Amino acid sequence: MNIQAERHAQVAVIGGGIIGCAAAYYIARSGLDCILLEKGDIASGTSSRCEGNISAVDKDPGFDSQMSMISQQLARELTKELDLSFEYNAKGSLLVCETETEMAAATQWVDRQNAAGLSFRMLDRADIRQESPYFADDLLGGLACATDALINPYLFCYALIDKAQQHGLRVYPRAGVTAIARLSAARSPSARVPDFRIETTAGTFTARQVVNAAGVWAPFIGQMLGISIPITPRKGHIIVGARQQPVIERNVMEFGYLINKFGGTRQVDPDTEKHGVALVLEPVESRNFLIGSSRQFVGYDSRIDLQVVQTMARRALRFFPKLADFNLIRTYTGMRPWTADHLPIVSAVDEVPGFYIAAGHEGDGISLATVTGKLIAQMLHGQADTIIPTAPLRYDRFAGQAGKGAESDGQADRVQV
Amino acid sequence: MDKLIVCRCEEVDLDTLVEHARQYDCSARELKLRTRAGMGYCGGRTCRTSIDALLCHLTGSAAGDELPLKVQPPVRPVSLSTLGGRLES
Amino acid sequence: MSNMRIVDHPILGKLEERPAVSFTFDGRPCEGVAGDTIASALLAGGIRMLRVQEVTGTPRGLYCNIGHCCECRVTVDGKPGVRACLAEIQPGMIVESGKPLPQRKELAPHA
Repeated sequence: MNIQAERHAQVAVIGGGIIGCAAAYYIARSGLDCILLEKGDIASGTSSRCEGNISAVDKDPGFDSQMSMISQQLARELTKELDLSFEYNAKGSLLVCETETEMAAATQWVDRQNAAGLSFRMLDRADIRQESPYFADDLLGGLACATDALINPYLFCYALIDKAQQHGLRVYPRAGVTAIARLSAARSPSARVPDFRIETTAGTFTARQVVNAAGVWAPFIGQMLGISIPITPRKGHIIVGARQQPVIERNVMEFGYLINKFGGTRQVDPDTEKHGVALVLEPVESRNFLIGSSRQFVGYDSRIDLQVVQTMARRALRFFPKLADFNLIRTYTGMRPWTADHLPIVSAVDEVPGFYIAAGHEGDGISLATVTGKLIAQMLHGQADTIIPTAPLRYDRFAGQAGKGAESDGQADRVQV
Repeated sequence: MDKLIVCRCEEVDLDTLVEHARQYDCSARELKLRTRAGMGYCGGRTCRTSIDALLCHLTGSAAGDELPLKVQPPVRPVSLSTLGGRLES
Repeated sequence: MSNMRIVDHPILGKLEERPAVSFTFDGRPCEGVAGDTIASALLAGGIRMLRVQEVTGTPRGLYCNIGHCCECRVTVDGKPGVRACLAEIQPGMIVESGKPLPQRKELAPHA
């Protein structure tokens, strides 16, 4: 009997954030023997320091949107499949516009999305006032996406793990991966693909297939196998507002959020521009509300930057001046795993057969976790007809590009998040 | 006997904390995320030591063995207008 | 309003006379003395409940009394989140207790 049996699995998922949890769930559910290795606790990284949007409203019409719609559908199904609640709430979401230029762009955005099969509609001044009595009076209107949902991202991780364990998943928290070696075929002559030996802070594991779902830490995992993964941490701040009065029933962002995310010029003050601030306000199940957002490339430094927080508070006041007396009780930061083309990497790595990447979702980790998990499980089975086309998410689309990954500048010192 | 409230802000009682700690064998932070104890208006300053002591009692580990719950700004609640740079009238 | 204030203590002696200060609490006229906090003035008058837990509606009042726990937070002259154990009463102060949040609305699927 192999006394190391419990330390071997067909699949090892590295990373216990929302992508790793979703991957582990769909993999275990599909019948593959699977282990999850997490350096901290489940959801202890970005997935417990983020907002909870499963949204299509901020997705590029086309592949991006299609992927979101499928992800939304899978999330809906999970409300029935999973036992633990993750505070799923599908009330839709909105964007609000400050200027006529934005309203014109919003109209185009709505038309393009609807043509692609989504459910968007324009909102006028009266509609905006209906959404919240705390909005500024001068907002011109905006748009709404009907199918958008809010969840609690870390409860989602716990719910996925809970069900996956019923399907046989074994979870190893506090098992940080320190080295991965691809064992030569000679050591396992009966195997058709090489085995991997994974060294961790909690001992050694082996697997036939490895999924790198380590988010902003994915480049470090890739480095262990000589693979350069061009994912860069993009820091975001969140402010928690205390539950004094209900502010709004669904998620709202300023239209400028889209420009902020995809790149482009906005007509805003220098601080807002510098800190990559764009208003997001999310009502949560506990009746508090979250204020976001900021985007900065500052390596792995997760300390609260009070100047950024103040810029976010100013931006929130611009859109919600009547929230002036509301008290804010907490701030935190999360690191989004950014790629240059705003699409994640969900892909086999040809150079290392058996090694897969599921990472690089930037601000769409929550939105795309389910479709990513499903897709990776299909890939591990060698399935050809996958739930979405795989070409746009291939790792080799970055071939030959110098990534801003782990081996680049001195920003890669691993400040504990 | 009435439930013993440990986290007053989020109204989390002792039984809930013990059940979750036993079922999930988790860190103080994970216990906070699962039960909301320590996530309330006071910033966890009232219940944090009780939760740490409870976990020590259940797991046998000394407080401070694991990453402590972080203290982040603001150290006490502040209004949006103050944080947003408007002078208090 | 009943008076629970100790005015003649067997060891500490008689409480010094202080001018009365009038204020309102949830619209009701109340009286304390100069130097009272909102919490001590209300407690002297037998009022212990200062707010409720916003979701469960459970009654709440003084707890730590040193500005630490925020259990005693009330709205003063329109400003929410004021700690009653620290704020000194002023003549004409309008104090309101914390109320429960309304039930969550079920949003009609119109959008």
